[in-house]
Amino acid sequence: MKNCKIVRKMLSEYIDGVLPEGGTRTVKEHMEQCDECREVHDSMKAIIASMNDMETVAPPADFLEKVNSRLERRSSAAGFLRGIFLPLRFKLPLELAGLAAAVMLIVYVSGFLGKEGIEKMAPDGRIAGRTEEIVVEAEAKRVEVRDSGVKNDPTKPEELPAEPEELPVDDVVGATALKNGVVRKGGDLRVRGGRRGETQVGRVEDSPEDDGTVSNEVATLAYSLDRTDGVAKIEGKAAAGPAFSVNPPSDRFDSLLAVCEDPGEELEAFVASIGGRIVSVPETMILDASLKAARSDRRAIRPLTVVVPGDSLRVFFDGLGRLEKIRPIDSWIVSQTSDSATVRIDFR
Amino acid sequence: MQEPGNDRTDMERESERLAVMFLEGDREAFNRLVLMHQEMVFSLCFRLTGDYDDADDCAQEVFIKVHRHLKGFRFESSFRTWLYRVTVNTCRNRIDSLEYRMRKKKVSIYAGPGDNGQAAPVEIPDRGESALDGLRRKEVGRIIQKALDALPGSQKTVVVLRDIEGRSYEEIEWMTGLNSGTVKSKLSRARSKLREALRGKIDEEL
Repeated sequence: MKNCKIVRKMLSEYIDGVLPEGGTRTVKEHMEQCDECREVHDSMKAIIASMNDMETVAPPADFLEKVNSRLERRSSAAGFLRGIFLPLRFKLPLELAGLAAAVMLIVYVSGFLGKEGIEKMAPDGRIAGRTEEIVVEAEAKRVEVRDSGVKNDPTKPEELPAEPEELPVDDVVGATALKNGVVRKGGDLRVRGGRRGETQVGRVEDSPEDDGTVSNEVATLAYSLDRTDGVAKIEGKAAAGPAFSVNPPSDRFDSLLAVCEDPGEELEAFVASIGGRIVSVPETMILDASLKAARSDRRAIRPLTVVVPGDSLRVFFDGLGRLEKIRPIDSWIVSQTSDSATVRIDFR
Repeated sequence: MQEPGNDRTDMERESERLAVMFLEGDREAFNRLVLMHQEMVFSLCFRLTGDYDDADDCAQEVFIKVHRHLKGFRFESSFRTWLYRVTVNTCRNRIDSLEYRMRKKKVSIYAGPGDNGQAAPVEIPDRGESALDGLRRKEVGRIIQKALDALPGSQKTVVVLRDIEGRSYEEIEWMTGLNSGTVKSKLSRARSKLREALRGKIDEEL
């Protein structure tokens, strides 16, 4: 019978009574005529009822005792040392387990060797550190991207400029209708071009002025758009101007730090406003802006890596999948200059 | 995001009272909070991880997080709803971990067809029913848990929160960080898969 496929997709919501009126009517009328769908409905409902009826599973009798002894361990010096050597956990395909073990080793070794070793591995979030503490310099910042109304849609070529042209940087960022853009001083401006991947647009040569103001009105960017393989790519380089510095408005960074220092009611609104997502409990700190994070984590396309004290630092390695839970974090301290923030993180 | 679950039951009021006492330095209040909520947390951990030892470890971790982060709880959501969220996140981290997936893979390779070799969960009968009813209920529970374990993580989380824990859509959105449409579609898919997997099996037991 026609509509069966559609109706079956609606059954779950129908059973919960959350379908809009029209949908409810459709399902009801359909089931009056279709025995099969009615049967699917009945059996689904019976299974839900069985699940409603499931018993709770009791914890062992000494559960509270175990919680308390773990808490005591953690607060002692011995707990601190044990914490340093907590096992690393990776999220990688199982087949890459061997590779993961190798990476893990490198990460540990780099911890002893110092900053340079790790920087090579984690170009987005610069990590330096000894075993008892890791310093993360969060220089990456987020570019404010507004939707200019120009769709970066390969199916509509007429909407894309065919020839390279010069535009003020702000306009370029806007005109490409990019979702995310990340700028690092001394690094490349990376923008998300098309529906997949990342395209380097230009090199960020200069930093903002000492007072935090950004003189990017003089900067221009030549760029071209190339549609091959159905993907719009943006390529270009800084054409002129002393500062091709697409920096986020400094007030954004200030407010980010303000949030860090005083997580409160504004936090969720702030994180939402910059496209981030709080991944865990409150008291969240936003550490770094990373397109790679967005690329490698399909579940949460977000331009920000979020670090939660008491949870774990998550770092993303391009090409290897996601490496997470490096160390459980105990506390952090933020210090700020006009263009970067240094975050010291103490690990359990 | 607005935090749902602002219902003020007696348990909720008592939890909040204890939370305030704990924040003011009363260590015993924390113990009472654990005792009050340990069954919900443990049970949810068991449903999500499918393993008694993992559940034990995760549930302990949940309360350690509560101990550390209670000061960040803003009393805008219900304490229990917040606790659900911490539990869901903790279990998600566990399920995502390589260690967990390695073990699951091993289990699926080496376990016999009938049993996966896990320690049998201790379940509490909470109603006046015959021993036979109790056994049936236990058996149905075991079969359902097995089908749940075969679901992808986020589908399992959503269906457990909705159909076993009885949470509202709005609460589930807040607890999982998923948007409304995603919650609905994951729930629908999970229920369809469970129906496929359990077709005939539960009827035989009932």
